[in-house]
Amino acid sequence: MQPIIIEDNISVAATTDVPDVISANSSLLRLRRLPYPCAVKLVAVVSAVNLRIAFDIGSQNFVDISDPRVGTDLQDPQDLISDEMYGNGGDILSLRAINLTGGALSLRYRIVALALADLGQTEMPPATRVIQRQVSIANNTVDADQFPNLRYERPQTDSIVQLFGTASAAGLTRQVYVETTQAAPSSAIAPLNRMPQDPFDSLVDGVQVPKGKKISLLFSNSSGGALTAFWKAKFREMV
Amino acid sequence: MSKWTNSDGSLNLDALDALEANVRAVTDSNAAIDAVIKGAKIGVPTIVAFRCNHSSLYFPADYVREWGRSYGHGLGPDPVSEVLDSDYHTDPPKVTEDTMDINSIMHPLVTTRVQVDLMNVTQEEFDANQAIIAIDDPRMMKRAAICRAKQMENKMGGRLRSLQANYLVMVGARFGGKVVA
Repeated sequence: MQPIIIEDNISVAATTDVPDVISANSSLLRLRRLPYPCAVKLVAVVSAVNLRIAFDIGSQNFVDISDPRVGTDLQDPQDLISDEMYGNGGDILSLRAINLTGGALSLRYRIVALALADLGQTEMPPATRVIQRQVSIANNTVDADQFPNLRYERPQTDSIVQLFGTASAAGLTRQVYVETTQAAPSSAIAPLNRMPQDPFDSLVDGVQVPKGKKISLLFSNSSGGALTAFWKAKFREMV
Repeated sequence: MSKWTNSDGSLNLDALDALEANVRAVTDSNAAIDAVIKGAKIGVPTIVAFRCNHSSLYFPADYVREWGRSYGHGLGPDPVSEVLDSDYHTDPPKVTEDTMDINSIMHPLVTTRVQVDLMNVTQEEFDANQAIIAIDDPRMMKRAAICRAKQMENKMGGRLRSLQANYLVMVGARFGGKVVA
């Protein structure tokens, strides 16, 4: 079966939350509903910072509110948000965009859905939830936790977590806890000043987080000025 | 007297040390520092700045040295301009019943990411053409207002001007009154 490819470059008005970006382009409306079980991939860039996206398939969230890379050209896999999302036939793809700035910004995205049957899969693979953010870490900060009040602070299923990260400049360190267990001790983050790329900017891999347990990604800034931390977390359901 | 000289006319070595640190972040050449010292001695003081190659706006002398700290968050490890520009090739967002403010409708802004060059300029020229730094305007309120005004004037902004006219008609219809634009 042919893949379903939805690609668009759309402007999002200032201080606006667009709940369904795909529908904003009428020519893409008919592609929103998956015709058969599919593996779905999302690639996205934004024209400037503070335009965030989220992505649902059917009633399931796969990408929580996230910051894509700043750029004008889509580069796959550099700008990959996630390629481990799955939906059943009839599920609707829903891409949300939130512009937090006072100016219109553009979102360039590509969604590719491949039939699971073509991939040799007969059962729905375990889902992977993704969130990626950029946050400012004040100077002399110790252990600023990134997950509080986020959707996946306490995963709803047993999960294997993979974390990626970069820093805007030297001086940022990270450590990872699951509840009170230290999963990764303090270590420096590469000052690449960009959204982390999978797999190049991996920080931690294979962290097991039982259902309902709290995961903590702690950043410390030992430098004299504020730094920006760019991080991405992938929660793969354990089966 | 300039920032490079003390009240007794001698050179301000602390200021020059800071200048040297900023210049050394991009080059081993002393030309920019020599120009500053020479200007201070003959009474035509200049400063060092970085110029955006797209907009000709100036960034402070520590732009490269403080890259990733005070400037250019998320724009990669190599310093580029963080000035915003208008993408006239992408249509503005649609005006809908939910559009509360016509100022939210404009051609999207993009970060130019062009090269920046080290320059010697006068303080007056720098002040008149200084770029608004992103960390001073994190929600783009100041920069978006400037860009939107430029879009309304630009000959490629016809689509935006017609959308504004449509919006005024819609608002007029919503409140049952006549539109006076």
